[in-house]
Amino acid sequence: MENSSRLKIRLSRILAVSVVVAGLVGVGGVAWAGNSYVAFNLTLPVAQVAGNTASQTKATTGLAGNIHITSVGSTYTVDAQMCSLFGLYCGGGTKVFGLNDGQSSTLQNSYGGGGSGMVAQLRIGSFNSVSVQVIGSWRSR
Amino acid sequence: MAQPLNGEAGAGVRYRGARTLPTKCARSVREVITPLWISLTVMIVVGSPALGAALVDGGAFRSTLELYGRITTTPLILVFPILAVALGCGRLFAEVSHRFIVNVRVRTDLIPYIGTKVVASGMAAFAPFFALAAVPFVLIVALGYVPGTTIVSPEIYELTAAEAQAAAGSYATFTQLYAVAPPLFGLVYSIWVGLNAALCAALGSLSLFAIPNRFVALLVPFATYFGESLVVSLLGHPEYGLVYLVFPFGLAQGSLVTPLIALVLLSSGVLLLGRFGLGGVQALERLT
Repeated sequence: MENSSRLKIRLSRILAVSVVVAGLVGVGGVAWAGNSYVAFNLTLPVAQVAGNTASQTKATTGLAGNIHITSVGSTYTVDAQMCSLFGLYCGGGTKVFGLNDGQSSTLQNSYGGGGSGMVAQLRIGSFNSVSVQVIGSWRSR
Repeated sequence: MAQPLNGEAGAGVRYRGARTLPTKCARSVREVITPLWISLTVMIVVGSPALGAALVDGGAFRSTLELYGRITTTPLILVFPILAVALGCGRLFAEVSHRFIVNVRVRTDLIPYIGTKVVASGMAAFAPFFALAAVPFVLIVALGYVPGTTIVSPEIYELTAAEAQAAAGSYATFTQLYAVAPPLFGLVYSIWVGLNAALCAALGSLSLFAIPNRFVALLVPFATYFGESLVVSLLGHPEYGLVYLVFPFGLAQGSLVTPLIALVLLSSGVLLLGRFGLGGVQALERLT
């Protein structure tokens, strides 16, 4: 009985240490992604519904991110904005409009450094009745 | 022998005091301008750009031309033909519904009468949509007014002011004219939007005599506009859709010849309905 409870305590300690280590490694990895361009390949839904890139952790407060659009399907153009909380809050990011193949823009924002869940939210610039593929790269910085 | 009433010239004979075609059209346009028409016009000319400004509020644009393009491109563009029909076809719809045309038929030739009404419906739809494109152009592009917290900042797009000005000429279809002379773009694009509204209203008016159900008839321009845009989008060429031919902002620039597709399609519809839809109107059973 005593042995069993000691084993449980050891296991829970090992688990706790593993979670902390994994968390630190994970955060470090995402923070690195925030400073470097990360590619995305999104298929944006019909009717100008927004799509989000994979999340990054923002490194520096208020520093503008960057986005580069490699290609947008058909003749559509795309609007972009940096959002936090995995795309739930976009109030701190300035929206840019009409990005076409090969065009770049900064993503001005007022988000705090260290914040995880930063995404670039993309939306087709005019009403689209078909889904549209957008390929590019971005960084939250 | 019965004399033509109210100075209407029957069988090609012109009587003293008979109304000329422009006079008849002007009178028909005056009949179309009702309180409902005025309310709709205000909603379109003021409400639509206000909605557009609200949708882009807080955003950044390369140039005032791009801001203008996006303010003009509101969700209302999807129901553009319905608004054009509502502005232009109300009077004719009422005349058909209340069998007024049946009474007109006994004293005049219906074809010129309906022709005048169709031209008037087109003119009544042209004016508000011309203003929809022209008023924001004057305010935003000519006078440089930027609404709300929206900003015009080429630096955000990693461009200099000169580069952004040069890029404006390749922003969307029709902006090739902006590179030639900004007022030329404003004038031609405003006429273009008004002309398409006029064609939609004319199509709706003529459909009233070709399709038995009047409500279905008024939906013909919308079905054509939206249906064609959907089909070409599914085929991977949204730039040929009527929605984008009339409101091209938000798509990459196309040739100035491309919008002529809209003109050919809508004009063909009007001519076909005018030729075949009105052909038997004098003996149309629904009008007896």
